[in-house]
Amino acid sequence: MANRIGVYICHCGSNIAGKVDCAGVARFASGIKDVAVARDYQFMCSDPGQEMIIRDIREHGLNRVVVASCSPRLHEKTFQKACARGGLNPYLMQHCCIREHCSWTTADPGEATAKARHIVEAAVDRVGHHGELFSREVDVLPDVMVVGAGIAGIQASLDIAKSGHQVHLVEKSPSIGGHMAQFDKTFPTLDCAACISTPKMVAVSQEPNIHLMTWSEVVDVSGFVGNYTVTVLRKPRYVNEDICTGCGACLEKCPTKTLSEFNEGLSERRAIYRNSPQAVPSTPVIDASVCKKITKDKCGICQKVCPTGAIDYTMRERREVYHVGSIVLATGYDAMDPTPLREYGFGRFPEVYTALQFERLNNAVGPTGGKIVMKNGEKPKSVGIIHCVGSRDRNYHEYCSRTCCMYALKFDHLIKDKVGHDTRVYNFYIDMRCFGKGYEEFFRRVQEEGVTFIRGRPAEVVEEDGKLVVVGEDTLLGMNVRVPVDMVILCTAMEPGRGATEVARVFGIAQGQDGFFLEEHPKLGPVSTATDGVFLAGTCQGPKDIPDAVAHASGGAAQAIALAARGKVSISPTTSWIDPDVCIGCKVCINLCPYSAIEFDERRNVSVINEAMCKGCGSCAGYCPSGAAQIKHFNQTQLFNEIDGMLGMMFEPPPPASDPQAADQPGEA
Amino acid sequence: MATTAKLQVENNNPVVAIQGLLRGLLENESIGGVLVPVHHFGKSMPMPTLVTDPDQLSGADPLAPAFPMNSAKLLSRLTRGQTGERIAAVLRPCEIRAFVELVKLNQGSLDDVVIVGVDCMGAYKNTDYRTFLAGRDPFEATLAFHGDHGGTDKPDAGGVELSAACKSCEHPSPANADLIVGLAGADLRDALPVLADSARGEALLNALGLPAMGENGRAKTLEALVKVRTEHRDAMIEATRAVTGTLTDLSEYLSACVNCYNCRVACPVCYCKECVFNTDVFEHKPWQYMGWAKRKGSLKMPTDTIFYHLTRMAHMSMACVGCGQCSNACPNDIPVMELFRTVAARTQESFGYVPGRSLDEPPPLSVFKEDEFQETVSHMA
Ligand SMILES: Cc1cc2nc3c(=O)[nH]c(=O)nc-3n(C[C@H](O)[C@H](O)[C@H](O)COP(=O)(O)OP(=O)(O)OC[C@H]3O[C@@H](n4cnc5c(N)ncnc54)[C@H](O)[C@@H]3O)c2cc1C
Ligand code: SF4
Ligand code: SF4
Ligand code: SF4
Ligand code: SF4
Repeated sequence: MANRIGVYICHCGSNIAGKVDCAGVARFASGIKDVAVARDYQFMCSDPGQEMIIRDIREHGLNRVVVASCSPRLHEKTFQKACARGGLNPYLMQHCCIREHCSWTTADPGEATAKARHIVEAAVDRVGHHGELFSREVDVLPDVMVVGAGIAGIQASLDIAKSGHQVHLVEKSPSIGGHMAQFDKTFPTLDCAACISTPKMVAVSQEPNIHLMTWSEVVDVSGFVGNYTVTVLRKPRYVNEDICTGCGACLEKCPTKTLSEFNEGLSERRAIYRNSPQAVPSTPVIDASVCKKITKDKCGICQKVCPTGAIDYTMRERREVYHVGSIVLATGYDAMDPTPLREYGFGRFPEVYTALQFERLNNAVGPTGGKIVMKNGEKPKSVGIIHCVGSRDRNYHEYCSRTCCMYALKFDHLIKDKVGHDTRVYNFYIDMRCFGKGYEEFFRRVQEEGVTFIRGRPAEVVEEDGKLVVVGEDTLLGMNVRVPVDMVILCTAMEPGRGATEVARVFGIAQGQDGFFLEEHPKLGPVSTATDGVFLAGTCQGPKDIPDAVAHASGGAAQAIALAARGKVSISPTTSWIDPDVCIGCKVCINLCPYSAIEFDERRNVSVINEAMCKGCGSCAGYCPSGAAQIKHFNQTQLFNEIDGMLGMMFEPPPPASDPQAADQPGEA
Repeated sequence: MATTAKLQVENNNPVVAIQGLLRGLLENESIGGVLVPVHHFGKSMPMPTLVTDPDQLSGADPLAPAFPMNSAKLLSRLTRGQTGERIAAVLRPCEIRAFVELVKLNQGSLDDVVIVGVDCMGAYKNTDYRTFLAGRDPFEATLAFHGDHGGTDKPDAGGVELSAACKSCEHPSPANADLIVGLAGADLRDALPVLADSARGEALLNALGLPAMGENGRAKTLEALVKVRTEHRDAMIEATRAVTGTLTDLSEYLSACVNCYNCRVACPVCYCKECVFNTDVFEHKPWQYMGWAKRKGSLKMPTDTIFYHLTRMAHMSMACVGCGQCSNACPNDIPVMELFRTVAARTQESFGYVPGRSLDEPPPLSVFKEDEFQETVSHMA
């Protein structure tokens, strides 16, 4: 029986109709083989547009539908659902794109119209070979895993725990809090970071629905939305968390010292350490790479001084497996290492600091006890703050780190406040970006405190007569400047966490061009990813300040809760399928499958797809020479017919253009 | 693994000597059968034959300059899944290389097969072999072909030349064999060296109790042979490139193709159970043909001939061992091997891949490497 295909050409207001002769394309489509009706309409996605399809399915007995409009990423689901409401299997619809792929990218209206005709013909030829497909419903496991316990991961965990679901929170460092735990004050309100984050950290440790695993990392993820199996590597802490009271006796007696990461290398810590007195958990950790007992079997002092006997040098790493319905990634960012920007002298001049180092200098429990002083212990008389180091710079990161202007203002204020109002503070900036709530007001306040702003990216920092000199141009005044200062702070870019690529691999998600995790849609899907059931929270998705990171995290948590609350999820049927009569059992596809979704059936000597795990990526189908492995809805017949249509191979001349009503009337083919 | 044993030649007949070697292997309890070319009915084309009765080895002629088919596919049938018994297979170097590729694709196993490789002096196309025989007794013809010394002074064969594939084959000595009969450089009236090239081969050779043999100039002869053949290969590739560089040229090159798919059937590394060209993907509707014809005013039939060859190149040029069976099988004398080797030279070079070189090298398209072809993909990073 011949197909009865309905074709709908959308104007998208003037987005498409401005370039493409939509009525002409509909007229053309009505002449293609098997097309029963072809129409154009202003907004196909609107209610009347969708109703038009549903009505035609019923009145014209359509068994296939083609919609030519925007990208399928935007509205394929919309039109699939419309078809379903009209009683047609949603997979009997083909959505083709004549906006992003055509009207927006083609200058000449004649060419755009011709191109639209090809695209529509391809879709018509393809849809004729579509078959009915049915989604499956699977149960969603109730627990959620959150990875990374910076402020974003903490917020997400607390939100999810509040909904009554169990959270497994995995943090790779020995304590939680992330970067925020390193700060003393936060912009724009200047409230003390510890005062607002410590209660949240404590809440995490006390919340019965949160199972916290610090000093741990996720090493393997398998499964699919609703049913993830996650393997967590618990690194040996060498201190038994259940027995340790956090008294800290060991911390003082340990004789071995090394540079403190938490203090950004500005001070030393012991081999057994914790980041700060407020650390959650308060249990210390032994750095096995330097501990004398573990490396050389000497010392052993901490074990002797520990009153509860919590020290255990024989601890081994262990792997624990968790079954969760969804995953929230909150692995944060790292600050860029400014050493490659040799012109700014970081690492060469002792008084050049990174912004995070300055945060530690300023922190009440930091290396100087919160005193802003130079290495010689004296107060700086003048400070230069260089903005956008590694940000908005084609050589490093093109993007804006979105926080540097604001924390530079915070530093301005803190220096004036703590070191003295006579301290001269110079900001070297490109633009001041103070877009958040209360940010512009904060900028004004700092300006009024007598801070100097020089517009222009400095060329270099040099040393002259024992003083640092910032050399650059004031682009507003149009003159070169040489500013002598005692101390220089580099506002280094926020960049993807150093382990981001590995995290992306383990969780099967993508990174954007900038290296941050790629969200599903830049505007409409900022917390979900292309992998169902894996959500993003905070700065792992892109630079953010704390308010934005927290809001984003609550968004990620809401997605995870929504999944868990419904308890069911429908799985797309567009997976791969291997025809056992054609498969020769070469096993190549098994290794190529990034989701480990293919198994080998030794008895029949063929490969078999696990449809629950297959994401329909097509790696197997792309290789399999005989076409035994093919993706449903993207099979070879469908694709070849689409190509034929694109090449105008199946063209049958349209009815004579003398019929001016052709576009509006169902063109019976 | 340096054992070299001496296989004595009696009555100036190296073929009988090798038959003796195979008989020795077959009498060894661990080997149940030998796959070897045999002249049936005492004449004509020697066909690959699985011999289990030592007496029937008298028809075996592994030195005949005939190559009716690449036995890698046959050996795949004999070793896929559970074999039960160990066999020995006498193969040309290109057959071994093709078999190694098939093993990588789970189409056979080296576990239960002892590979006996023979230095390859080349062979004639099937039709040319008949001309070459010219009614002679096939064994006589084989002896005449080889003359007195392995690898040198090939006698004139009544105007027929070795197949193009063999003339441009730079692999005359077998790789990945257990035992090697070192024909190259040997005095064929006196003795043949048999080399053990694996622990398994070594054990078998020792069990045969043959005397040891010293250096006989094999390496030098092989080197000279490889040089001539490599030059021939390079000239062949250049000539082929010159006439296949554009789609129009390629269409002309393949214009006589009738889509009989003989070349695919003959190709040892085209391994599919059901080739995609046999599936409904290429079953076109009558109105499709009409549409295509109308678009250009005419349509050459059968359709999809160029597409077929391009697809086959995409599927197996990485594994092409240059055995020439495709050309041998083509009823229309299309130089298929020349085209495939030319393409394969490029695809294989871009991955530094030599098919059949080692079982440990996975076929390039079967693995995903993130850092590959950075110059091509770096703009997407
Ligand atoms: C110098 C500086 C000053 C700033 N000052 C302010 C300010 O005053 N006000 C403000 O609003 N914002 C400020 N910001 C921005 C602020 O730091 C961030 O918005 C905030 O810290 C982001 O939190 P997060 O949870 O997304 O990431 P992070 O704080 O980076 O937390 C990520 C956590 O995940 C963990 N993790 C990473 N990888 C893994 C893994 N594979 N497995 C398990 N755990 C992992 C990390 O150890 C870390 O604990 C400042 C930034 C900088 C650089
Ligand atoms: S690649 Fe194709 S033939 Fe090979 S195992 Fe997979 S499905 Fe079967
Ligand atoms: S051409 Fe391709 S599909 Fe056909 S048999 Fe060869 S490898 Fe398989
Ligand atoms: S393409 Fe031809 S030369 Fe290459 S392996 Fe196949 S049959 Fe041999
Ligand atoms: S054997 Fe010759 S005619 Fe037959 S398909 Fe191959 S190239 Fe074409």
